[in-house]
Amino acid sequence: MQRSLHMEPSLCTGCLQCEMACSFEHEGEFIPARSRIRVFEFEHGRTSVPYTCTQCVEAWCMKACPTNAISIDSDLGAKLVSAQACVGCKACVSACPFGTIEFNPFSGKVDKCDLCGGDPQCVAACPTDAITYVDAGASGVGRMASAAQQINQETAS
Amino acid sequence: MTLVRIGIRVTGHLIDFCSVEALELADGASISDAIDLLGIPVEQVGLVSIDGQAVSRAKRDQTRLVDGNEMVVMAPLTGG
Amino acid sequence: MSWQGKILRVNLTTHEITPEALNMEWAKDYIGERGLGTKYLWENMDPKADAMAPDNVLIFATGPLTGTNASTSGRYAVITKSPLTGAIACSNSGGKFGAELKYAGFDLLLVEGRSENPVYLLIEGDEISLAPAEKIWGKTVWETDEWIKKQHHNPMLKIATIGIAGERGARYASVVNDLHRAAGRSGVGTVMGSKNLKAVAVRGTGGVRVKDPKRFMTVTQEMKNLLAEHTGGLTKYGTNAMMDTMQEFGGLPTRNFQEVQFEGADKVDAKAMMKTDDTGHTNLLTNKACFGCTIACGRIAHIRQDHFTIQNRKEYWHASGGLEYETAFAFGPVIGVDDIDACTFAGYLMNEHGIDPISFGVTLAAAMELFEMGVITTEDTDGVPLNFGNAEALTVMAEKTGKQEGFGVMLGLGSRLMCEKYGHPELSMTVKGQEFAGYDSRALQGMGLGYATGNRGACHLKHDTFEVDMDDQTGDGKADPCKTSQDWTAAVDSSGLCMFTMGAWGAPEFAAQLDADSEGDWTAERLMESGERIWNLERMFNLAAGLTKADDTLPERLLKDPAPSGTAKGKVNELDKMLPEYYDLRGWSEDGVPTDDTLGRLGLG
Repeated sequence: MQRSLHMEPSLCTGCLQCEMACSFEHEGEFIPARSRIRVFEFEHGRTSVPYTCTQCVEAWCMKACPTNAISIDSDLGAKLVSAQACVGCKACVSACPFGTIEFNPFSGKVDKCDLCGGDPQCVAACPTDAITYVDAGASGVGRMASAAQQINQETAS
Repeated sequence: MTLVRIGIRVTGHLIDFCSVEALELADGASISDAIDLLGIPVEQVGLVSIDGQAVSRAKRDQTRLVDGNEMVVMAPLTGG
Repeated sequence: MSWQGKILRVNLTTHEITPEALNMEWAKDYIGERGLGTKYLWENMDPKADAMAPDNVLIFATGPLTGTNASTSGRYAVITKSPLTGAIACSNSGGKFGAELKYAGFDLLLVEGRSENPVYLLIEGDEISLAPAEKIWGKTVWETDEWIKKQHHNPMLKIATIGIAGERGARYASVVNDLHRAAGRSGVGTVMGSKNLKAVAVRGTGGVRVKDPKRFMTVTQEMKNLLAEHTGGLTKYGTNAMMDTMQEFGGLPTRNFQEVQFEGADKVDAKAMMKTDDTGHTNLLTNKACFGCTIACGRIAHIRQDHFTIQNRKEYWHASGGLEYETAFAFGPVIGVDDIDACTFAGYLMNEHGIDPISFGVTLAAAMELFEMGVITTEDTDGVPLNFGNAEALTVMAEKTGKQEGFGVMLGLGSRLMCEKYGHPELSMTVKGQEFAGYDSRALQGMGLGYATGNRGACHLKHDTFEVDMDDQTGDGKADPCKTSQDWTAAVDSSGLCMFTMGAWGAPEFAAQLDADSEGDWTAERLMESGERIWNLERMFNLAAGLTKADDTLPERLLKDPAPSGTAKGKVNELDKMLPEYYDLRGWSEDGVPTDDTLGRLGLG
């Protein structure tokens, strides 16, 4: 079953444990500046929204890459960057409409979410389940259930 | 068996354990019995007062409840 | 290791900016943050210097665990000499600024001298400069935060700044970071203003390594699980969950500490924040975490748009920081106000203008008592009647104090100076000139001893005697838990983690995380010893600054006027019995001076 990262901003407290987990997984130290997932705060913290690559099926980054450095992992559906093939030209960075692929000045390559090979560390680190790794074909079911509950309460009363 | 009826108030997050406002117990029941009946974990109890008088932890077991007592179970205090 | 091994020395007089190696010997003895900052302060200034003079030193210090994924790892402290107390100031804050400073590669920022013109310090990766601050001098905290991010096209900058109150010398101005997290107490913002330093803006793109990554990740996860079991109430209800407990207990200072219970408490407590009123409005919007925190006790709230404070001020219709226990106490019971939206708006103003809400509220309480006694009239207070319970007086005076206008200038002096000016020093509820937090010393005896002996003046966060004080309302046996918790809190305050974990973690839990994180062998005993060393160094700073045993006291009201109600009805604080026992336990002379043996034992000789 293919899974995808599902973000539930209403549960996010802005603690950034996900940014530390992601950067620790890929860089071996806590360095949120190199995290592939970022949390954005709005209206003095009223909402916090985690965001990262959502693994487009037809990926701009893949199309833009002149050296075919980006390939699809068919099991995960994740777009993976091959460090050997990447020449750091950043074409993918300007092609991606979501800003979720970024040049890494230390490595001279680009970084993007790779779903940690199927065990996303941001999901493991999140204390409130604001990020979950669910059936890609049913990631909206949680919201549908709470909407249904809302109707249920109204009709019941 | 005569019953003792007491008023209950809880503070802080203890409302999540117990939201009743009155309790009936067997005559001779102690404060500790009441806390058990209310389902409040003992380590979550900061202080109990009976009719405004504080009762220290050591005295909870032998302090008998009397009909009409007002018992307040207070959450522990932390900084803030 | 989890220190970056580097500090940044900024001389505002010469505009020289010099990175320096961190003194690792000091780091081993003083851990970081509060402890290390105190040691650097001790070594870099004369404690007799005037707090507002250029030779006062202002330090921003992170801890070894700041910026790691240990829970609550966002803490940093601002350490300097206080213009409010003349003693050492050590204000702790969360938000994201502390971690960012660590990611910029610095354990500590040391600021000395005074800039001729207003400046702000900009750290973007390895580009560090002092930039002119003319455009933001006179601007609020919120305007400054927005302007700096736009000016440098860098929304990722984390900013700690002062407001107008700090620029204009109000005695208890704060340093506000990330819009509504504050290093609040003792006038650390006032010192920043006296140096013409408007803000510190940091973008850190580096990382933090730990000594033993594998063990660290295992230990911190275990500690997070332990934390989750003990802090559910704090997550859901926030610190203001304590309001109804303090009300029932009878330790809730009301109307300038004349009473210990407030009839309007249920209008401004945690449940009131969560209640939906008839118009469908709920004060509390959500909870919020500081950097790395898995408790997330922070509150985000908003104000009814038809409320008198903001009905024609659209710019305040947005959400911001909500009430904590201390701000609810300072805007509610201590001045007799029970209007939750007015209290929330006063909180907005405190963060926007950079003022310590506790000192402000308790100073306003003293002014209200002076007003009710007729010592001052509306002629003194710009026509505003300062009766207890007057919610409009609260928000009008909060703004005046923030902008240092009219009677706000008098309130900005702090209650000690203000009450002396009006010939009623006994109405100032302070120790060493710093106003009390929301716990009455007649109900919490050990807390009273902590207030009296706290190195930064009256403050509730540098000791933890709650458990023994609730269970036993006499002064017996309180000296030891007070002293022990003072030493322990000093260690926690130096680690980079938050003291709200103390309900779940003891010394072993902290030691386990610190030892996996930092160079050296960190045990529970060594942490306690460091805590005691830090406490004694702060004491030495105060003694050198001219404070004496006479400053270890409480206002007459708490020593002579019995608590009028509550579980401690009829009681006064038994300081006279506790203090000698405390000095003895501390290894101090009868005059409260550390003996040579004590100094020798702690390596302070």
